[in-house]
Amino acid sequence: MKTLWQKRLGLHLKQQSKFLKLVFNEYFIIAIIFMLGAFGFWYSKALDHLVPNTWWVRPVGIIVLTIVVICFQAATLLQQADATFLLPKEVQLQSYLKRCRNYSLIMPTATVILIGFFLTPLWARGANWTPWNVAGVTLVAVIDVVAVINNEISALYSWKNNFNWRLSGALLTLISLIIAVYWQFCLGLLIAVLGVVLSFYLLHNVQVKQPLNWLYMVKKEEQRSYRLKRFYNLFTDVPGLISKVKRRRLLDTFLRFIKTKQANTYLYLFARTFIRNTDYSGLFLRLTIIAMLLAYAINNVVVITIVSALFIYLVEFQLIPLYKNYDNNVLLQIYPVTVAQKDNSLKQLLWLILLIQWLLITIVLVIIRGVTLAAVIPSGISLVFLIVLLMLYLPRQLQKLNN
Amino acid sequence: MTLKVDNLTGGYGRLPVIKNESFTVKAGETVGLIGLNGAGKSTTIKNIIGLLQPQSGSITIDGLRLKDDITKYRQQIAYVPELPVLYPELTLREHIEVTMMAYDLPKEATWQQANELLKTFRLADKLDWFPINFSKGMKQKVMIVCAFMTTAKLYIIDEPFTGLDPLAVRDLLALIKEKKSHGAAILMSTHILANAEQNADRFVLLNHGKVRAEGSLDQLKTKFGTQDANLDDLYVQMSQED
Repeated sequence: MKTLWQKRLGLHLKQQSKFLKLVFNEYFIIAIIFMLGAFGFWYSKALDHLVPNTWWVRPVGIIVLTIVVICFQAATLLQQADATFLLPKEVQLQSYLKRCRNYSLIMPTATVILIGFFLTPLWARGANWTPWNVAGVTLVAVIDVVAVINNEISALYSWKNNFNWRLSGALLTLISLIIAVYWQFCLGLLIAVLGVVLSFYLLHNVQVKQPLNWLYMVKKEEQRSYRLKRFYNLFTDVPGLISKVKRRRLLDTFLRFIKTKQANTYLYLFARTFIRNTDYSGLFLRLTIIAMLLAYAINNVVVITIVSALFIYLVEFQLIPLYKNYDNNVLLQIYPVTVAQKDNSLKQLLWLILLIQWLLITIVLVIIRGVTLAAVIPSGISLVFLIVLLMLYLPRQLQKLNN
Repeated sequence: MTLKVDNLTGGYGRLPVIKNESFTVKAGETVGLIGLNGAGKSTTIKNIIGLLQPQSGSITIDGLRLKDDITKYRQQIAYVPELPVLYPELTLREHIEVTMMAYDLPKEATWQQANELLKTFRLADKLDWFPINFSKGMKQKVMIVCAFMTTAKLYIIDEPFTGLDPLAVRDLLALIKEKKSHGAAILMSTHILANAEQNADRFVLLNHGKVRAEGSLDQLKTKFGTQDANLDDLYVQMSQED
């Protein structure tokens, strides 16, 4: 079990470092430095205006700390196949879970300390606290983390309702912090320590009495890693990320416009995939909304022209994988449908999608600036760009994909 | 309609999995493709439907090669793969619709056919489901419905019986019989020898990528020199050779 944990952890860390390297590229680091700087500047300005002994400073700190403590989950790093292959090793898995508990403490502890650091000036000014007071409260939160993560492991043994485990962890955190902040620091600390002791006892208890809920455990880890990958996916392509499918029944009205004839076979498929697969539709929505916000916020005509064209290009570029989406499907390969029909279908769909995007950006421009040159120039130029993109560039992209 | 596999050699990469394979499937008959795991059954099927290109030899349907007219060649084939493959974004109803579009089938008549099949396989009330909600056997049934609602002349079914409940197996066999009586040719690969023995007219026994024997059960017995054997015995005997 020890070697299994080490192997899994090694694999996990390797994967994370690979993704983190991609996420934190030079540009992103520069952006983060700027954002941190801007936030720090804003924070210090805001603190200047803060009246000493403001009533809401303490509750806000407590709520922020509590949320941070309970938003972390235990990372078990287990895989679906484990529910079959490790089934006979259930008792031995306890030592594995112990290791994963210890590992799962690192991230929340670090984050809580960081948050405590950020809260120090707020509390110093708003509640007239010394850094030592803040450090004490942060310590209580760190101890609560142990109980919360212990409960997370205990929840893996529950069959009916695992919500109680989370609720009790959250309540413990909230109560111990309130007492430590408002009443007696030492009592709050004591409650947190007692909570941890109790959580150890309860964990031992369920491990003796209850069988492990393997399916729930594996599903939970899958969801956790899915969320993480979704985040990475914002910055880079994550292989093996299974996209989600949503029914979106309301949009069926639009799908009805596609005539059911042989030439439309791919259009039928592509359109449904675009609408229902959250990867594609989410991407379109995110980029279009950002483009609309920028169209609203940016005043410079040249910049807004470049931004509109750029976002049209980004959507086009990121929707190209739709073309290959079904290439692994045996049935589609043997359909008596030609490649020309496939190309045509993607072109039709992209025309529609990009024109909708262009229209939305244009509407924002016109609302903000009226029918003036400041609206017409960016809108006109990005339309020309769109036409050139689809008429000249897209056929080349498709040709490249087909070779 | 005749499917003719002539001297076919093929496989993945440079190493051939099947060597000099020849057999025919004629209209109105069911041919069972029999062999151990890795004998080359699926590779043969992939070559026929055009997912793999033959390294040498030829495959023709009524004298037509895939290269001659892809659309016309493929229009004649309906295929049920070993593992069901569905579109995660499409409902069952849309799977049927997209198949109709791809094969250019008349809408009303095909829906009538499809509805009957859906009823047979107890899927009629699941038309708005997504594949993620289907069990493995149900997915297999969807594939069968989509294949058998076409007017193909050649039905290729890869391991049709694994994963299906006994009722569905019975219904599928009845369906095969019906298509056969209407003049279709059926090629099915399977390990379930009892089903094959009862329902196939002829057999192609594959061993190590070669056709070990071909013919009706009686012809096979003569070839193996064992008169009172059934398909099981012949299968075991073949697997023990070399």
